[in-house]
Amino acid sequence: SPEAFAGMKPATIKLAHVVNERDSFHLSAVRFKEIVEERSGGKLSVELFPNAVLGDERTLLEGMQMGTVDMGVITNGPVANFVEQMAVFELPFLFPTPEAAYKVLDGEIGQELLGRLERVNLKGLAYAERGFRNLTNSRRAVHGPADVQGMKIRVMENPVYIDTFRALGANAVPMAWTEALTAMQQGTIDGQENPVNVIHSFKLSETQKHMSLTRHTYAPAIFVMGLDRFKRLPEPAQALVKSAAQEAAEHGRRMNAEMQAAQLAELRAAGMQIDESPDVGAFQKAIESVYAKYESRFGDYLPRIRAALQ
Amino acid sequence: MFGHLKRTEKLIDAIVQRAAFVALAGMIAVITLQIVSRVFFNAVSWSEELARYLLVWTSFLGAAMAWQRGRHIAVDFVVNALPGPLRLAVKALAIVVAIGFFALIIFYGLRFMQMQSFQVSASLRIPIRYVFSIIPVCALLMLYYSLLDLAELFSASARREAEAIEAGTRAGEAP
Amino acid sequence: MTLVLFGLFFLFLLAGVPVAVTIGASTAVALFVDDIPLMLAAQRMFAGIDSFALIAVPFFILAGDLMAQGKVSEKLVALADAVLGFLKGGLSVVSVLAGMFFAAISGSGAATTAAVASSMVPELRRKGYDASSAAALIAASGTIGVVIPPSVPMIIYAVIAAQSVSALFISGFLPGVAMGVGLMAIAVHQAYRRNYPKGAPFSAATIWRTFKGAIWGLLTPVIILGGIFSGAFTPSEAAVVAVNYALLVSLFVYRDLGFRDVYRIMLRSVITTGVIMFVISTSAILSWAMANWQIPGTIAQWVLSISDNVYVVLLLIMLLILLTGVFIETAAALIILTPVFLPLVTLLGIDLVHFGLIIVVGLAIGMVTPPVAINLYVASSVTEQPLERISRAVLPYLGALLVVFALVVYLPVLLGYSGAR
Ligand code: NA
Ligand code: NA
Repeated sequence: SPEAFAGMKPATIKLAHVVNERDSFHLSAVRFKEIVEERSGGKLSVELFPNAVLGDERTLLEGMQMGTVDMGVITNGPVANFVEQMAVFELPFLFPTPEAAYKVLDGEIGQELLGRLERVNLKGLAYAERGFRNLTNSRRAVHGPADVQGMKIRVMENPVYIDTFRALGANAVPMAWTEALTAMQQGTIDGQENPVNVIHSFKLSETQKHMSLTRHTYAPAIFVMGLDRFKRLPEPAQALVKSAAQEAAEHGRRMNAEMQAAQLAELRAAGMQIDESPDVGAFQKAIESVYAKYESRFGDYLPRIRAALQ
Repeated sequence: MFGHLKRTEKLIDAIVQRAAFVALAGMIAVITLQIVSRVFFNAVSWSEELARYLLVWTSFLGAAMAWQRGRHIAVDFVVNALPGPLRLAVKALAIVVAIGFFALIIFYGLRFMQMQSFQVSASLRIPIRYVFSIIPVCALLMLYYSLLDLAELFSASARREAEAIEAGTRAGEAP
Repeated sequence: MTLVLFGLFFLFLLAGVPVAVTIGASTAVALFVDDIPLMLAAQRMFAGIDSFALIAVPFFILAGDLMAQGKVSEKLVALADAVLGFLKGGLSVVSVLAGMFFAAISGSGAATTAAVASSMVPELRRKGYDASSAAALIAASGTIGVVIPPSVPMIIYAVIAAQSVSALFISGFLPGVAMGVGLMAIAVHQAYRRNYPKGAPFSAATIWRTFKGAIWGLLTPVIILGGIFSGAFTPSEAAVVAVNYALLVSLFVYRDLGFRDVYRIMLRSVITTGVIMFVISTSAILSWAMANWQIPGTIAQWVLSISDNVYVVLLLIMLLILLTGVFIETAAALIILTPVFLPLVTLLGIDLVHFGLIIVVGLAIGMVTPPVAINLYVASSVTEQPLERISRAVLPYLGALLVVFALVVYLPVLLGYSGAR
């Protein structure tokens, strides 16, 4: 309640992210700003810096460590460059549904991993989401792994993704996203994989004829703050920031779910052929080698996640 | 004393030249491999990242080489229009500003490396601070070169010695 | 902060502090005043050049340099001579055409100027052309080097503005040709006034012979652009392909370079690269600080409060680009101006590829406007003509380039391609 903040010196939190104002990251960030400013009686205000104006996700995380940026909504991938265990969530076909992911992320395992960020001077607050990633390409309809053979698929520069798509038989091409956009136009690569919201907002329907809702990887995102900045906040403000981040993250997840149907419809209207139920079982079987390789990479987190999902 | 420092500068520059050549040639090799592997075989997974890091190294080694040769872009027509003593003072000021900036980059660069001791690169999983280290190293070289420039600006004997060494090493020298 | 930042910036710049350090040092002081941790400076310097697209910078410089050294540029000049040498004052028209050919190989204006000047000037002198006028014309044609693709400034702009390099490259063709035609028109006019001699009569056989001689050079743009647009490789990779090709041609086909020359040329490209990348690197500190203090947005609001007429604002932008180009080198000016203008042109609804073309053409003109005019320096050092005389002789050509610049800015707007809000 605002009364608890009566004695607090007014402060501002600089919150940055790398996507545009229509993305669920931004909607979450706006929600966070509203909650914090309202419940602190205006004592704590939030300034938003969307569109990567203060740097890409890796440098934003560094910025939070250094104190040049206070806070961010950051996808899981770059976070794993600082705390390797974070990458466990991105193993292929780990989560069957969003609800299963939420249960693990909001539960003991997810919170414990957020806590690990303190070792690198970051304060993990809550899990927002990038979402389930799907495969698109310009060559042919993909129903099972056999259709992916030999296709040049752009993946993130991340060993798990590279090995996953190699296991599927694709020619996995790690490439920066900005390069990939041109590469898809010129046909240097055949396809890529991303959540529906990204495919929609970058109008990939212009270059990619086919999409399969493979939902092969669930990519979380993190509401994260510099640890020093967090500790400098008075006690009630810390509690407010933490609970507001959780509420804002859940708001973002809801927005993602709500917007997805409309986004898919627009992509279809733009001429994209969408396979809504590809042969997930066959895909899962094809990537078993990835689990063999990464099983022990993340401490005991993988078995614990599996147990929690039982 | 100055002659010794100046000869050290030349020695450092010779090493920097070779390192820069290796970095540039390495970039050509890595990107050629990237194209060939993607088009004809399976794409190698680390080429893009390695090429980017070689670019960072080439750039800063090149920046240090350019500093040693006084080739960085500067607006000098104003300074050159100034009367003698004032021109000397402004030139000295310019070198001092550069020395201050390089000192800052070295100090905060080292602190940044300390802070980033956990972070690894996305693909090769090598510690980012090793890749980054070329920046404070080259800032240190440029700081060293600037200190000698300052000495040459104020001491006629240093200037003479420097000219003699430059003339002696120029034959058979790269750019 | 803004006052500290811009005050120190101009102070350091005019005191002769190198542009890269001027940018870094003035921003660092402003950050210190605003109590922002200075570790930021070190971080941004790395982040600013850690980009795959920028890999094209050293390699389009190197490819051009390798080709400029040896027979490739000679043979391109011979072809240009066969095509247009029969005209009255043909040799000067030939310099422009050779400049356009070489522009399709090299990514930089200075390299284009150097390549054409070193092969053309002896010939021009022998035939009694006015030496400083010839040098000025070659310097002016050199500006086309960054407009016809490949182009190092276009790559830098594409990285800062997050636009497609390929799209920028395509958009440069017509303006580059228009610049060439404009320069040729002035050159022919001068030829009649000064009664220059005609060259050898037109001969299809000579064209064919010189075309075969120049084929290795002419294939370069075919490989670069063909490779990009067929999807074989990305624009950054194309730069490396061009280098491999240039090495192959000069080491094994023409055999005009030895390994020792290649080493020397590579190190020269490293230095040029170091100069440009150092500016990009420290500018990354500046652009972060400006974004943090929301300076470009404020400037945009301020300009739009004076006028939101697209023609008027574009005129202001044109003048500011030209003025900056007078005093600051192309790449550095581009790196400083682009983030300042982006919010403004975005608010005006101007297409960002079109704007990239505007800023590249405008700053290319700066290569021939003294005091800071790289192409004039190169032309002066190759031809041994005094800078003052070349600077005066360049004025009519400058006029032609300015007309093309105005067309590049306003014609797309008039055609509704860009800026129609
Ligand atoms: Na060019
Ligand atoms: Na100029």
